[in-house]
Parts: sequence; structure tokens; C-alpha cells
Amino acid sequence: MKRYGNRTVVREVSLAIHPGEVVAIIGPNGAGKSTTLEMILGLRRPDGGEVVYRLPDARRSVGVQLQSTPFFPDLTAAENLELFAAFYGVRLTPAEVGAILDRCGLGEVARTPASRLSGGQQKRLAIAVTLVHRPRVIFLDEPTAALDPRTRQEIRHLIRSLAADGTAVVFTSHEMEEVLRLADRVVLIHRGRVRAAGTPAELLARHGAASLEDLYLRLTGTEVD
Amino acid sequence: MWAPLRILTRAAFRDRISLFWSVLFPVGLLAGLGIAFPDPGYRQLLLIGVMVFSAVSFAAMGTAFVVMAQRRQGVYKLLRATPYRTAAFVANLAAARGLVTLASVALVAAAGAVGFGIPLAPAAVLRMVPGLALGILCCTLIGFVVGNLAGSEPQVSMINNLIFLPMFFASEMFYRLDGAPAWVRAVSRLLPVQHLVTALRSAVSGDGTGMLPALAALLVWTGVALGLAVATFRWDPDGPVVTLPRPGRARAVAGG
Repeated sequence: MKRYGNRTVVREVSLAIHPGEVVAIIGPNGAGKSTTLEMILGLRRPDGGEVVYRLPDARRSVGVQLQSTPFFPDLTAAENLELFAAFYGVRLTPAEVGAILDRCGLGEVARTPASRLSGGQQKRLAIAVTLVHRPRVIFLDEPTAALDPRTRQEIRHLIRSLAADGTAVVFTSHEMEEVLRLADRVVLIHRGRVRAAGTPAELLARHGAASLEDLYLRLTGTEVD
Repeated sequence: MWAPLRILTRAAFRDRISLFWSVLFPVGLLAGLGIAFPDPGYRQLLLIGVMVFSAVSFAAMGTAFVVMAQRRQGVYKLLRATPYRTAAFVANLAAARGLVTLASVALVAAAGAVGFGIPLAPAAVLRMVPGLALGILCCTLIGFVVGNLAGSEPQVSMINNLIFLPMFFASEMFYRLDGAPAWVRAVSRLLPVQHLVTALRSAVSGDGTGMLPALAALLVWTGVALGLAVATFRWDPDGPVVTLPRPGRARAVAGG
């Protein structure tokens, strides 16, 4: 649970995340998605409830991509990766840095300062940063927001390949098509509560919805953001 | 272990705006005022003044911008999700900026000595090191305080100007205060910039009795700035944060 003053922004949210699965958290703006993620990550203090990590070392097992793209603008993409790896206590060889950048489609801009990367490249660098310590769970907050279709597709491929390697991926999104393609499970949050949870097929069948967008509109009573 | 310091130092060396204000501008000032006032005694005083200006520009003013920008960009928030201790990050950032400040001041001093023929004996340079190190640390911490208090670049500029312009004007960076009103001299004796000027000037003249009180005052100011920097530090512009569970245990982050 999370309150800001008299306003409760998150309540009755319960979810479990398992290895190798892709979980999408959807909901309107202000539904409590990012706040839920930030509480899970320990970035915001919950006013109630608990977060349990069944991992040997939570901080070293979790990768995080926030909505903002927090980089050191004077450092290159490769140097940013090296620095964040050091924050996780990992020393990456240049080959390892190159491999992560290549995997995220940033091989050609490895020596470009982060400040000169395009929006899509910065978003990919944010995801690359989550991979420097080989985490077992990755949290991505709107990883494809405001990106062109090709970049969105590349990021979706990346998420699927991470899941195929056994990494659990939790992401938030407003793109229902993307959620349908990527997610093994969907959690719909509205006004701080879980309104629906399950596989996309289960949710559509349970609520008799023709599409995820239809389900979203029905349960939230709002238009898709 | 040294990777963060090494990489953050590299980043600090690429902070072109701070380098402009800490190297090019002071050297320009040295040239301009040196030509306007060719008296050798004044040139010596001027060199110390521009060295102090260089230190304050990079260590304090530049650091304030960097700290504010990093917080707004979410660097500290992301850092909080890693196992890296924030105190270690702050120490490394301060050390990195301190090293580059020292290099900037050295360049200005070299420009004065080589380019303008201002005498600066090797022994005097060595005697300057404690004062410079302490002064730079103090300025860096003040930079952290300003960066913590400000929420935007205009606010950083405003707070920097509010803090440092009076310190510049009420110090002997570019002129002597012998003829100034008593209250100006009294205020001057309270401010860290004047103590840095005094420490460096005493190092050049070999006046140990003048240097020690200045170093002691700088030490006090460094302690005050450290306390303020810690007290005002914010991870996130939106509010407080908490830590993840300790390694090796599955437990609640918070109970309700």
C-alpha cells in the first residue's frame, strides 16, 4: 500500500514473479504501476504490505530500467555500462561490454557520448545497463514508450530473448498489442488495485472480451492512454 | 575498486563548461588584469586570486550543477537500486571533481608562472597543497549543498551567485581589503574563500603563522559543509526512499 497524504495510490496489489516469465503491468496513467514497481525495488517506502525476494542477493539479482534515462552524459555508452557494472561490483572486459551493447543494438555507438544518443538509443542503453550484472529479474518501466516501430520491435525481441535465457521480465506498458505479443501474464491495475490478472487468453475468456484493449477499456472505464 | 573513481574522473575532465570557468576564464582574467595592472606585487596577488576563482568554479559551482542534474535525471534513484553504497559514490564523485579541480588550478598557476612570468617557487607550490586540498574539498561539499537545494539549472545559478558573489567581493581575491570598512573585513574573516586566499598567499610568502589559522578555519568550514551536504542530500526529487532487503534473506521491505 502507498499513500500520498490522504490519497491512496496503491492498495491490494499482490503479484508473484517466476523465473523466465514475462509479466506485463498495465493500467491508466496514475493507476499506480510505477509506484508499485518502485516499492518492489525499494525505491519508495510502502505504507503497508510487504515485498519478498526469494533470491540469495536481491540487489545483485535485480536489474532496473526507470522511465527516465539516467546516464552520465559526458561518458560514452560503453563507459556508462562499465560504470554501472562497477556499481554492481562487476568488472566487465571490453569484449563483455561490446557483447552487451551488440545485444541491445548499440554496438555502433559504443564510443558515442550518452548525451548524443537518440531517444531510442538511450532507452536501449537503459536496458543494457540492466544487464551488466546478469540479473535474474528485470523491471522495465515503459521500455518502448515514445519509440519508433523498429526500435520497439528490437526491444521486444530483446525481452523475449532474455526470458528465453531464464530471466524474469516485468514491464509496464500502454501498448496493448505489445502486451499481447510479449506477456506470459498480465496484471491490470486501476486506481491502485489489481482489477485482473492472468494469461492474456485467460483474461479474454474470463471477461468475454474481444481484445486486450476491449478488456482494458471495460475494466478501467477509460480510453487507452 | 577504482573503476568508479577512474570513470568519474574521466567524466569530470569532459565537463567543458566547468573547465572553461576554471581554466580559460581565469587565465583570461590573469592576462587582462595583468596587462591593466602591471605591478609585480599585484600580479602575485592576482595569480592567487585567479587560482582561488578556478578552484571555486570547478569544485563548487560545477559540482552543484552536476549533482542537481544527476538527481533530476534519476541517477541517484537508479544508484539506490544497486548494491553500491551511496557514500562511496559521493566520495568518488567528490574525489574525481577534486582531482580535476586540482589539475585546473595547476594549469592556471602554470600559465601565470610560465606565460606571465609571475614567480612561484617549487617550495611555495608544495606549501600550497594542504590549503588547496582542503579548500577544494570544502568547495566541493558546498557544491553538493547547492546541488541538493536547487531543483533546476536556474536555481543552481541563483544559489551559486547568492553564495559566492558576496564571498568573492568580500575577499582579497583581486584587491586588498586594508581600506575597506571594518565590518567588511570582519565578514571576510568568516568566509571560506578568504581563508583559502590567505592559506595560498601565506604558502607563497612562507608565512606559516598565517597559514595555520586559515587551514583551521577551512577545516571548520569543511565540517560544516559536510554536515549540510549530508543533511540536505536527497535521492529523489519526489521524496524519501528505502533500501532493498539485505542479501541472503527473503524478508519484507516494510510491514503495514
